[in-house]
Amino acid sequence: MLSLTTILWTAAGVLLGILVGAMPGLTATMAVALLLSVTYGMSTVEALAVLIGVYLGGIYGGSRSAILMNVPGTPSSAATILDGFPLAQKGEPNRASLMATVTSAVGGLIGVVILAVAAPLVARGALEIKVWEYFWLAIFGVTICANLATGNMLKGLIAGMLGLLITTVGTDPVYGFVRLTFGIRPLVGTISIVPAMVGLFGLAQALDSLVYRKGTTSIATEVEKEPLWLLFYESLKSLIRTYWVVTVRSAVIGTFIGAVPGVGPDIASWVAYDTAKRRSKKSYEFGKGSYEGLLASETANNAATSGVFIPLLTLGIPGCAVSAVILGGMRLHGLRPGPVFFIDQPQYISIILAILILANIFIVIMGTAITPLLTKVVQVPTGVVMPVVVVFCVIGAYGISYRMFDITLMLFFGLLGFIMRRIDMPAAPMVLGIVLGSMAEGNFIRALLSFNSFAPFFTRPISLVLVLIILLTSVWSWIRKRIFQKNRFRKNGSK
Amino acid sequence: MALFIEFMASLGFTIFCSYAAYLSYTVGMQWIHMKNFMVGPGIFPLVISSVLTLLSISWSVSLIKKQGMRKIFAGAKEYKEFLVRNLEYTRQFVLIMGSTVLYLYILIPYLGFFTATVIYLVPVTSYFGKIKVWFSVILAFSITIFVHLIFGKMLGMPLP
Repeated sequence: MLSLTTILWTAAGVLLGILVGAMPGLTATMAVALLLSVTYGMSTVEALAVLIGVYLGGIYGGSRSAILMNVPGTPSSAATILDGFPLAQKGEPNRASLMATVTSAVGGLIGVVILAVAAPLVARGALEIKVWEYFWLAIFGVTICANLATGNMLKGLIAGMLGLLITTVGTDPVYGFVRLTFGIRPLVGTISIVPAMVGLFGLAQALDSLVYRKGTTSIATEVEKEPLWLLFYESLKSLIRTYWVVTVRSAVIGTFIGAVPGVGPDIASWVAYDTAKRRSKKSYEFGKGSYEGLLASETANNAATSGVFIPLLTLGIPGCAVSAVILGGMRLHGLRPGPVFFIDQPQYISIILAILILANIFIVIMGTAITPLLTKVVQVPTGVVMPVVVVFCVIGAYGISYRMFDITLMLFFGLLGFIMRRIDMPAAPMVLGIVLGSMAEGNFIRALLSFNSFAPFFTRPISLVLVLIILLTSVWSWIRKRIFQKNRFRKNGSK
Repeated sequence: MALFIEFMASLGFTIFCSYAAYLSYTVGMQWIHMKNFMVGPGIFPLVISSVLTLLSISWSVSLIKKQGMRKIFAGAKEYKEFLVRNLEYTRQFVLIMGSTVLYLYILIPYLGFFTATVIYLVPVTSYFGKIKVWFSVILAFSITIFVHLIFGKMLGMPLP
């Protein structure tokens, strides 16, 4: 069905996507957008192969720098650093990378199955999500992240809310009114996520390592000595025997969240991580190097890449920024995704499904092949690695809009991230706040403009469910801590 | 001392967020009067900065409740020992920040990205990584060539 050329283009796309996604500051969106012009001269099928390959490879590739350097390659890998990096520090970078590889592919494949079977049904459900629910989804994403990213939810919430506040600098998304720029012209456009992300994670990590760690030490002093094939076999075995439940559950969560237009893999990974932590018998290991946490995040964000194709193909609505670019590419090549796509151009449905399956298989092959090369990074002295990370951060920050001002922003966020680490305030909620800020505000304003009332925020069924989940997740961890402290006090008192 | 620093940070956040709320309020445009009163572009920053102010105050209050003012300010008296203990870290910070700022705002604009990157990486990796100069020169050139091939040629990305 797929020609050899298409298969090779898929492989090339996946490899390029992995390399781009692995570099802090470069995103899958950037890679797909840059390659769009390259695909002009290709056939429709080859163009789809490259774009989808780069997208999937890019989302998966973000896990590499997250695990090896504590810097998420893409925003959707921010949850991966919580357990991926501690595993690398423990001397298990290869095992962690291979587990992430296998589970990403499995998640993607489960997503493809759901896409093939349930696409029109899921799309109809996703259409019920209106402006009120989008607002609460954004708040839900920030509160979940704040709850998980640190032991202190108050600091996490402050970081998340700061992220939301940062997005109000510049032009507002509804009226186009310019706010809080202090006369600084480059701030008229909103603050992009990339300089914030590379600054808060990349530059802050580099500063932290170079200031507080001896430059001759490496991230891990020892790594696994077992051969790669054995580690791969063990990863597969543990996935099937021990982690199949968390994998399947995270894949389903990721696919359905990815299917909600405008949400994407960023929230999917956090929701899956939170669910895995709540249901785990070893929740105390989360944040310290738990394979369950790593798998949950990576499975969900890759499953979401299949989920975004549900509204894209059935309704012509992109699921996230990257799929918006892919939609543009599809239209350029004469495809018309939407309600009649399944009737007018049904042959492309099976082609897209085949490319998605192939891309996930290539993730396993290439991800495994480059693992030994990439994991050598953890054994290189931090005094050598971190200055190189700074250079890549500069490239990443500049590459989004080609402005020196974005590099200045990156420096600012880098300093802010460094200070936040000193006071134990997590950066991940702030990043998610910046990602979701315009979604939160835009839908908040539009909701109030439509109905001029706050009531639907609490009376619509899906909104009410989301509000209850937000309250439950925010309050529950506080209640659990109090119960734990009381029990400990009672135990110590009785001794 | 760490406790004192955290408390001061929480106060700093409170002041900053209150100022942000004040700025959002003075921006105006919370409500627009067309046919009816409708929300304007000023409402969201005002709501968020107000929530932030409350959260920052909660943070300060929770620190006072948990540790007590006496314990918090007792840490402030240890500032001399703190400065002495952290002199080495301060020096490292000044070195890395200074070299990075030099790289971004002097070397790149005047020498171009590639030359600036080589000049930046050689001393920084030699000093922090404690590697021999010739090795750091090879590393710097390798990274620069890699960046040029992948970003400049393959992806066609403009570099700083």
